[in-house]
Amino acid sequence: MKRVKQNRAFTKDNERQKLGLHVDNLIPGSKRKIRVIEVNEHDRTVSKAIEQEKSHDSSVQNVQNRGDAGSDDDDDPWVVLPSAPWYRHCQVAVMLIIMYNCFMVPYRVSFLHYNGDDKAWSVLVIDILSDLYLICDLILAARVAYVEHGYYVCEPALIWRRYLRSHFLVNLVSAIPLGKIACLCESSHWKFMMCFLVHTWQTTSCGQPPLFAIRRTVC
Amino acid sequence: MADYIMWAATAVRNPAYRLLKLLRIFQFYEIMSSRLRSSRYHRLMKLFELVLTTLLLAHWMACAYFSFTYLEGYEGVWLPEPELKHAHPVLKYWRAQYFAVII
Repeated sequence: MKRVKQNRAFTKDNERQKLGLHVDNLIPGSKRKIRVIEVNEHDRTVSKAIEQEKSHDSSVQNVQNRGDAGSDDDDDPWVVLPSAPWYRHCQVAVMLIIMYNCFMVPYRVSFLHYNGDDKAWSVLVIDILSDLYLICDLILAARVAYVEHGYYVCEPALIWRRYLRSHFLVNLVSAIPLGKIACLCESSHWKFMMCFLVHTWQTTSCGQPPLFAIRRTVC
Repeated sequence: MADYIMWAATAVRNPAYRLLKLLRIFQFYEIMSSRLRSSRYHRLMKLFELVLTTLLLAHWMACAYFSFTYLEGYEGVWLPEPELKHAHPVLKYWRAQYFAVII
C-alpha cells in the first residue's frame, strides 16, 4: 500500500477551502504547519484533487510512508499515525480487553456476587493489568492522528480538541478505579490523611481555601 | 510504598464497581469499524461482529435474568427452580442462558 505524504503550509484561503481544512478558524493563534498525509483507496475524490494539485505544484515531495511519524525534522515524533503496525496491535489488545470486561463483569455481578476473597490471584492480576493497559490507552489516544476529509491531521492541539469532544469523557469515567477508591475510603489511611488535612487547614489558615493551607504548610 | 502496592492489589469485594467499564463497548465497535474498512475480510468480520453482538446480548440477558432471580430470592413464577440456590455458578449460568436464548 502506497501513501503519499505532504508537507505544506496552508497560506492561501482557497487552498484551504479546497482541502476542507479550516485550521485557522479552529485555533486563531497557531502558526504551525499542519502535516497532512493522504489516505488512498478510501477517498478517491480527494486524492484526485491532490493529483491535480501536484501537477501545478512541483515542490510537493512524495515520500514513502513507513508507518511512523518520526521521519522528518518538522514532524512531531510524539504523534502516532493510526496506520502504525504497533498501534494496530495495541488496538487489538484493547478490543480483547473490552470484550473480556463486557463478558466477565456482568457475570461476576449477577452470578458470583463477590469479587474479593475467594477470587484467584490470576484473575486479580489480569484485572489490574487490563485496567492499567486501558489507562495507558487513554493517554495514548490523545496522541493519535485522526482522519479528516481523507487526511491525517497531526497537529497535537487539534487531536486533543477532537479527543476531548469524542470519547475522552467515556474513557476517563471507565478508567476511574471505583473499587480501589472504596477500599481506600474504608481503610484507616484515608481517615488519617483527611484528619491531617483538616488539622492543617484549621491551624494554618482562617477560612482560606485548602490549597493555600497545604502550600503554606509545605513551604 | 509497600502499603500502596498492597492497596493496589486489594481485591474489591463488590464487582458492581467495575460496571462502569462497560462504557467502553462503544469504542470496541469504533475500533472494529475503523480496522475493517481496509481489511480484506470485510464481510467475514462483519458477520463475526454480528455474531459477537448477539452472544453479548444473550449474555447480558442471562445476567439480568439471574440477578432478578437473586433479588427475588429464587421464588417466582418465571424464575428458575429453588434447588439452584446452592448449585455451581456455571450451572446457574447455563440455566439463565437457556432462558435468554428461548426468550
